[in-house]
Amino acid sequence: MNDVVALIDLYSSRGLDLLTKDRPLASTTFLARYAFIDFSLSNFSNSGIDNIGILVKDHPNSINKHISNPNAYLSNPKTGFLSLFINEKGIINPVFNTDLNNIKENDYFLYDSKIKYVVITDPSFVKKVDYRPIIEEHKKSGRLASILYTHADDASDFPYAQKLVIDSLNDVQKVYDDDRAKEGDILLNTLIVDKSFLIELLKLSNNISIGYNLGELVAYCIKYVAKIHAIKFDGYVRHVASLQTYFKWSMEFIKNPDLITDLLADPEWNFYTTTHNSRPVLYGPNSKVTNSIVANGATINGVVKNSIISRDVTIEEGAIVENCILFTHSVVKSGVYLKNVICDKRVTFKSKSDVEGTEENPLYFPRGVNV
Amino acid sequence: MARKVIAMILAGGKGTRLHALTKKIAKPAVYFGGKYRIIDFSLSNVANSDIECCGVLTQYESVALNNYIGNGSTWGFDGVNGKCSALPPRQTEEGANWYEGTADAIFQNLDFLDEEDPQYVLILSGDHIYKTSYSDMIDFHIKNNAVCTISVLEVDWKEASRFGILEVDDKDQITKFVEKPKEPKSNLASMGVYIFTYKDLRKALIADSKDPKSEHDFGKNIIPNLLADNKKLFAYRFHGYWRDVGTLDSLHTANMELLPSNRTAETINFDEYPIVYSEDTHSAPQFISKKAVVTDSLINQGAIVKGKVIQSVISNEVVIEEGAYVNRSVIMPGVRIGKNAYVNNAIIGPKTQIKDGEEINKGKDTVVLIDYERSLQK
Repeated sequence: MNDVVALIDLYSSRGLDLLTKDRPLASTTFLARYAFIDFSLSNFSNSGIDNIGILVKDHPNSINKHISNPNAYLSNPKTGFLSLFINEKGIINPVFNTDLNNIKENDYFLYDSKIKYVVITDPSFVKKVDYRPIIEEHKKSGRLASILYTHADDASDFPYAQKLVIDSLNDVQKVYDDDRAKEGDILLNTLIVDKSFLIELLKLSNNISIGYNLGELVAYCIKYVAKIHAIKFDGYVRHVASLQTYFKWSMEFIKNPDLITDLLADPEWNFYTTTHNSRPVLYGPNSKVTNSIVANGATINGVVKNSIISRDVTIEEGAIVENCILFTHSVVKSGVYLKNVICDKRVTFKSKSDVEGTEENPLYFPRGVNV
Repeated sequence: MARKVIAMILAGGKGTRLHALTKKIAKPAVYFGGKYRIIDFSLSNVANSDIECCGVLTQYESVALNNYIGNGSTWGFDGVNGKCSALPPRQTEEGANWYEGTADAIFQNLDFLDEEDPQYVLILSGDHIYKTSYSDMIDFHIKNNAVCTISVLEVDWKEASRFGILEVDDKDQITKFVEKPKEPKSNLASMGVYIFTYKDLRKALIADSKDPKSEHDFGKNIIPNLLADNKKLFAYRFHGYWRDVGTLDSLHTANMELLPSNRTAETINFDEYPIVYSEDTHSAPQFISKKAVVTDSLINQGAIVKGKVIQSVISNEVVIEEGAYVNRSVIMPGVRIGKNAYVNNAIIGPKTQIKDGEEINKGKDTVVLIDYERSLQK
């Protein structure tokens, strides 16, 4: 699909409170060995889309560090590209730091005559999606733009997502916010657009407001400019939009381990990530690990239950870790008991103590602290 | 600018004593330590020695190994000055030739070396487990203005007759080399790691190629000939962990030495420099289920453990079903151990299926190999 450019829009993700204080959601650890952006990148790569730009809003170093090796994601880095799109004017004046202005600052791909379509997606919607049939449906629809949605029987699973009203021709009538809806059609912040129409929309946004973002422009477009087709998606999708939803959707893999085999271990749909040359996990003679996901490099000699353990974590003999998510290089010393805790990178729990949050409100420890 | 050092890794051997493990792949491509292949150690050692150019001489069942080596990016040989080439035997104007010996393999690739025009050539085996940087050895070779420097290990005197043994003077200059002596006069065993000054190596290889009686082997021909010509050859003493994993028992033992209860200050510690690089598979993180028990083991990403794993090495994409018991075993990638199966003191080859309730080697102390072919037959 060398006529498609994919853009991963880091502007449209909500923050995860303190977890995203120093990094975008896109490069935040998920399920021990991935970052959220890995899911977007892998979906594009597996769909044969090798031209990928990342619309970076802030903290470019964190993203740059994670995707510094394009070979980890692209089928052919020579014929395709994986680039960070940075809006330098937006850095000087935050008013201009929108996804639309970012695209305008990095619009060279719009001048590539072979590019016909642009797909823009939000990495906070974690999904397993083949874009090939979706792009085909967009082409057949005759519309200049399409959006992706899913139907939720329980809309409380998507408290921060916008909802849609779709007409009988599968065109979007309205996008609206309703965090009390019991069920509904959920906007997945994914736009499939003809390149020529995107160019028109960018010009239009100049006339409306220089501070407009893509979501606002799409809503404006639906109201005044053109019909937008709605494409239903029925596969796995979760919206990570708060610390609570981060914990909930992470722990879903612990409560329902079949998700690991169905989603992550599907040989037909690999999820790629950057390599760290970590050794396999070392389990000590006294380790007691149950119902947990563990990434390479970890050393475990204590008790671990219902937890997600990232790369290079050390859990000493006599430590107990339950219902926790531990980021890379964390250390849990002997005598420490952790329950319902999210701990960021390089946190060390030193003293003999009980540290306990709740499932609804897990305790968070920021990067590098000693406890 | 001429390259200072080129590494040539001998990786063509069949490794017959590993039986079915090397039926379809060369010994250096055999899996080790849950994540690695044996040749990862040699290639990582070369990369960690700041050597940018590397040739890997393959012959027996070379396809899997050639694919694995690729352009060497796994070990970082794809940098601006980097080069890593698999060098299987080829057809030339003189006809098609197999490599007739270790020296012949290098001789047939003199054009590869000439193109790079190195000052020194490091020649090593691709089937040994050890971590090192060859930088000190190269410095030692240059300081001595030697024609050849051989890395040696001080072995137990009782074991010495199994090795190529070097006798040296008080400056470690080699005075005699004896292959597998009945009554060894030294316990300095050759590790099969040589540094040659290239112009001298080139001359020696060309001379050897013209000798119809030669077996074209470094240990049997090149080294004795250089000594006979009174060339300066030195022994470089290697200290540390080094294992030849040429038999099932030694492969099993070396894997067991990676486990926490067997680790010593000497055994392989993957967390310490030099790092061992390997292919990172696109695996899911590993999952240890509710009923699983895992102690004293090394488990790679992609594994799913629902049974009991004691003192074992488990590779990627291995599934150990509920009620299964795996003890003191090495499980290679893609293996499924069925429900309530019992596996003891075993090496299970890649993609092998162990049936539900099947018992492997129960109550026995000797190591057994179960391989993929057996799964196909049953």
